[in-house]
Amino acid sequence: MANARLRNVTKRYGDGVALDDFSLDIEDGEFVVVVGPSGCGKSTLLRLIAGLDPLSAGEVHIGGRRVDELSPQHRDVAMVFQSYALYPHMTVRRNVEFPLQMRGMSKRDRRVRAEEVAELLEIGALLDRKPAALSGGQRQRVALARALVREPALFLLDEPLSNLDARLRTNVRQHIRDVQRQLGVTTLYVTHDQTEAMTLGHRVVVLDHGCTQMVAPPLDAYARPANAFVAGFLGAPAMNLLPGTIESDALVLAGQRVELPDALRASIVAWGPAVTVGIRPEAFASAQGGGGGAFVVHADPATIEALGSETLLASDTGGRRVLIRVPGGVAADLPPFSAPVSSFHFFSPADGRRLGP
Amino acid sequence: MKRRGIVLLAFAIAGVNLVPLWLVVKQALTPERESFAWPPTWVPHELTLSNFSGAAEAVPLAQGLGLSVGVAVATVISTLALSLPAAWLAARREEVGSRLDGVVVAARLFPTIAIAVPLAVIFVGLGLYNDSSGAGLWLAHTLLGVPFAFLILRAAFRGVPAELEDAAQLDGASPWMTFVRVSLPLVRPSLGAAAMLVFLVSWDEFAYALLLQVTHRTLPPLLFYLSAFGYPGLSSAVAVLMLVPAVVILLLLEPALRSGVLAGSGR
Ligand SMILES: Nc1ncnc2c1ncn2[C@@H]1O[C@H](COP(=O)(O)OP(=O)(O)O)[C@@H](O)[C@H]1O
Ligand SMILES: [Mg+2]
Repeated sequence: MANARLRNVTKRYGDGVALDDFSLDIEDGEFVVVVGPSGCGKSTLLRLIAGLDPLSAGEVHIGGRRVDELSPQHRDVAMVFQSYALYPHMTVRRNVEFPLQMRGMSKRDRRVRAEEVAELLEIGALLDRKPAALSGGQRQRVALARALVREPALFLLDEPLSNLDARLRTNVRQHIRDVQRQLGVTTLYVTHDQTEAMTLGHRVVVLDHGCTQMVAPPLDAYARPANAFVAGFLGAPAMNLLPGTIESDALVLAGQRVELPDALRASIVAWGPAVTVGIRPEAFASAQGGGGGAFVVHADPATIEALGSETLLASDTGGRRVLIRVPGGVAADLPPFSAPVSSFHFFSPADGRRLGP
Repeated sequence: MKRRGIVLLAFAIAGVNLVPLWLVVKQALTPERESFAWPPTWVPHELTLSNFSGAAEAVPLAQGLGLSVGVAVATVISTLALSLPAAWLAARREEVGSRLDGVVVAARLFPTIAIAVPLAVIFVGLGLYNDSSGAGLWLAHTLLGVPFAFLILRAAFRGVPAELEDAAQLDGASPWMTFVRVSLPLVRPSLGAAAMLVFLVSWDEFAYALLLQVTHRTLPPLLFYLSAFGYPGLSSAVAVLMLVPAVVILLLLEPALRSGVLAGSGR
């Protein structure tokens, strides 16, 4: 167990940049989730930390020791690969014992330790099987067991749930979180799944095209996204991003004049005239009596997706598709929905930067 | 109906291959006059081992057998020792792979018999010509065997996901341990296949064996002499000796080529 410091870590392939000037401090025992779309450099980041690929620039420190010149086997880093990378010719037991064996642990101790970890990950009954005789979820747990068995200084996971079906994913997600909290192992977890990003870590790093977009606790990132990319990436369904124009006392949004409340007017006017307005689907509610200071949309009945616990709808407003999410069901006559200005996020249309607090 | 056609075809192919094989075995085990009997007899009337003893008297058969086995085994060892690292590197580094491809193809382009003569000249200079332990022949056979083994093993290593080797390194294995504990076991069936094919390449090789050795000959040139000088019974006896490892290898190779060792590594 240790902290990890990444300083200006950069990876170039030819003239492309897979990871650009990435810096991050991970505290001892912290669980950090890196989230971003496919191809944004997540696997690259983990491979650089693990020493599987050389850095183009920057430094990696683990437990106060600079490791970027060390070969992978001397970094004390464990990794769960997206493909699991189990040794197919070894039984589960030998897979799990392999890291201990490579460190010269005696056969007896190895066995005891492997069985402890197997217990923790509930694979005790599978120890004498080969990986080919396991289900996807079981393989996944064996991969976790093999990585955790030697109590690494830093634990890396590359989209470990992406090959599991949805139901299993929820179980394993919680299991991974419990195991991490229980062992207190410093963890860096990468995923393209925003649910995992929101629920697993102490902090989330949002990555796009190799560049860090935001580092924050997940709920902070959800509540106050640093830019339009983060706003669109975290949260499902995604935040609506609409072009708006600020006039002296109102915001024109998708052809609609939205009055600005007195409290917000002064600051919002200063950002104008052109802004990108972000409205979360869940910011909408049935409009009661109308009134100013809100964006009102009429949902298309054909788009209703009733999930029981919530309902998803869409509206084509001023040539833009706006997603709406409300708890429970909706009335048959489908009322208009409105979102108050106080729930809006404002971004600069030029560079996507968040405007205001 | 279709199935019966396939079965018939299989029998036809087997027959075409097995009839001459049977004749050779029969000829080796029956007196020479029966070989020339007309119409030919399919079932031997009289069994005898006299062809084997006759061949041993006519040519240095025991020495030839020893030399053939020795050279073939040594060739397998040296060929695999050279091919394994080269094949692994070629599978993992595309730039190395494409370069080695050229070398391998070039090595197979020239007919052996054309190379045998200049090689003999070089070996005279090096003191390897007609070496009693077959050292020169061993070197020549290694040159023949490497391209085969290289291509088989490279394909095998390509089938081993690089992530398994990455995982082993992160699990604390040195590059050598990674190779021995992970990469090598996963190409074992192909390694076995390569070893057997290289054995047969050497075992069967004629041109170098004829031109690089004079008094210490392997089995193929001995067979050639017996046959060329008109002893079908004696040469059949040598041929049967030569068939034994081929049949054994055939039986060993078949299950090795079928097994799927890589199942289960991934999702
Ligand atoms: N070996 C490589 N050679 C060239 N480009 C690569 C290589 N590995 C990754 N890349 C590029 O780097 C970028 C990031 O890749 P990766 O880290 O695998 O993304 P992610 O894991 O987030 O999906 C991609 O654009 C990819 O094409
Ligand atoms: Mg990836």
